[in-house]
Amino acid sequence: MDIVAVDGLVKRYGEVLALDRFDLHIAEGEIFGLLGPNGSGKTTAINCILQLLSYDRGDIRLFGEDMAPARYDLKRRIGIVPQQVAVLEELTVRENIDFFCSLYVADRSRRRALVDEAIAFVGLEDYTRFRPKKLSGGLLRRLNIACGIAHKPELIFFDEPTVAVDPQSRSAILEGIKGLRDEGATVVYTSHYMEEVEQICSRIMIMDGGRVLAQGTNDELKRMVAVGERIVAEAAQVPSVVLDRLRAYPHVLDATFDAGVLTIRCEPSEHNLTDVLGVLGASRVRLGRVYAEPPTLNDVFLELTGRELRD
Amino acid sequence: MLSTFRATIRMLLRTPSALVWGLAFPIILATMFVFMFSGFRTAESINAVPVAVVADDAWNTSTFSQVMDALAEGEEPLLSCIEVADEGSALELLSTGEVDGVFMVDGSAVTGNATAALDGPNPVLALPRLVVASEDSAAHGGANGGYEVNRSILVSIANSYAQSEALIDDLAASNSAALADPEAVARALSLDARTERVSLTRSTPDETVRFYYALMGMATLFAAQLSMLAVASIRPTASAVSARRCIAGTSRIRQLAGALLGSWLLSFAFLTVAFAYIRLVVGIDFQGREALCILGVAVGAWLATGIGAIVGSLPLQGGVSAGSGILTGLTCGLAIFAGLYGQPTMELADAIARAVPLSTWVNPAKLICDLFYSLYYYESLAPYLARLAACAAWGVAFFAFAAPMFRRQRYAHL
Repeated sequence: MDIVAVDGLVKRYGEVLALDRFDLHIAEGEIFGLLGPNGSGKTTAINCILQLLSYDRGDIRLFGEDMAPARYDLKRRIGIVPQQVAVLEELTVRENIDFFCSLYVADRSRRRALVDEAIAFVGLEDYTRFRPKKLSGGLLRRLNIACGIAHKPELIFFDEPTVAVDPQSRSAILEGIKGLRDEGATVVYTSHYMEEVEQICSRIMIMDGGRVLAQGTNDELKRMVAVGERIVAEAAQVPSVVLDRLRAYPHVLDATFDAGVLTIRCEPSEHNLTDVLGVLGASRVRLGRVYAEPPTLNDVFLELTGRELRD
Repeated sequence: MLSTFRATIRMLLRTPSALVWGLAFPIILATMFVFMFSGFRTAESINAVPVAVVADDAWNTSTFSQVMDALAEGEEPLLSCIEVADEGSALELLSTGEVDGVFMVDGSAVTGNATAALDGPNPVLALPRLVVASEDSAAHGGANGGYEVNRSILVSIANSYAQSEALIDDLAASNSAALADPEAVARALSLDARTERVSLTRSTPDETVRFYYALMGMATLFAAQLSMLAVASIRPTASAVSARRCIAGTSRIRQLAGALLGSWLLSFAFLTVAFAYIRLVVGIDFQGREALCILGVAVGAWLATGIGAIVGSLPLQGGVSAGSGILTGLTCGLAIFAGLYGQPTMELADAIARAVPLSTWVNPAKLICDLFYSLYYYESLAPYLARLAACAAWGVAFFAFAAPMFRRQRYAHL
């Protein structure tokens, strides 16, 4: 059974089509990634699923049941970690977690244990009496997460939880999400950071302009594109005649030189690196570091839309 | 609902603006009123009017001198008489401003009919002569209001005596036997004999208490800030936190109920503190009806919570700041028509109340002000109960208006 089943969802803001026949199916225990640039419709889709937004058309089923604004029985099984830090400034860390948990769990004694567990999960034990204003950006993000997961939801939506977070906190957040999955939760994770999505998601959907461009596992998505390999070389100077010579090679899709970095995207082939180095050596281009890497989700997005994911 | 109630109280108690407007401001304003009205309240008490009397033989044998003696006696004498030997000395005191008038009795002015009816040692019915300074006398402070009042008191005494004397003169002409009893004549001529102090109200009206009651009206409106903040924190479009609350496992209506209950309780507590300060520290009289005042405070808090619920439910672009601005403007504006800002605004409020009596029932600040004043002023509780019912009804109407507006709002974001 799909934990989340969305079919033909359409959402308009006046003339703007925010979601265009959006479909989404997520199985139990998955970490499902929604990847797309800002304004692609990720947050709108989540808000529609959670009934925060009304929508024009479509069916939304959660846990096998129709979702509606008054389905508080379903809402109590869901956790949400919004994109913006959404906590009460006047309450302390513990009071905030307890308050948001109380909107799902009425029993105080049970809640006390859940709050303690959430505090330990995000590592805020030393800050329980602090008010949000006293916390750093990373600690605030952790509090934001604790408020969303304290009631042990079966389905958790993380909407870009790592925006403006330092690398250390980001790593801790991603590990935490994997921990939640291991405990049995199903996770929907939205981001425009492809590395994060690649790192933790079992399946990924790429969105743009309110439409689904592609979905599948990380490998499945990368197999959809022509790029098989990307060769990157640091060089002081690469004449345009050399770039033309590289582009003329059979497996080379594109060659660009920008800010001392030469990037060559190639189709899958066994001798790409050897061939490229041969051309560069013959042209007497002085090279620094040279490496080859498999295609990224950005390559997938680039091929699907003709522009970079972060444009 | 209970957790929302507790969180609302915590949240509001830690919101500086809520504490400043809801709790501190009424106390600060009441303290300012204490200093502003200290001189005013002293001026309200009547000081004895200084008057010179020419204590010659004619004076000593006149009935008027007895009247003057009576008016210069007692705990709160109306007159303070300075006896002088002759008219010149009396006029000298008048010219220097030491007295506000001079009374003398001219022997030649003795009334014929009455005197003829009285026997030898009886007081002489002689018309007093009053001399006062001109209206713009520099020695009496020019057009000073105090002197105007004193002069009118003296003129009133002289006229009143002259009317009594004319009455007795007529009586002597028509029925001289009626004047056989000298004591009866003296009683008839005494101003006291015809004056009985009758209170038409529960208390002697003190003009300054109305300002404190108007202050309670303003404080009640300021308390609306609390429920505005509480309701806005659940409005889906107000902030990320409120949007998060709206998708939680507890319904918005249950959260709203908890928030309103919490803000009402806190409003009630803040207003009770303000009332206690005005009653116990400032010493404003509530005529021993403090329990009814507390009931009024509770219903006033209900009214304020309703007002805040409406403003908190409005889909304002500026969020909570805009709501706070609207409420502050509304409070300051309506307080003008409750007469809070001094005597001119009080007179304006009275003039509007006379011209458009309905306005006193639709202005919450005036309604609360009148609620307390009706307890202070009227013996009957009917005016108070009518205003209490009006406050409760307004509260119900405001909630009835706010609830659908709140429910209709959906989150909208692009």
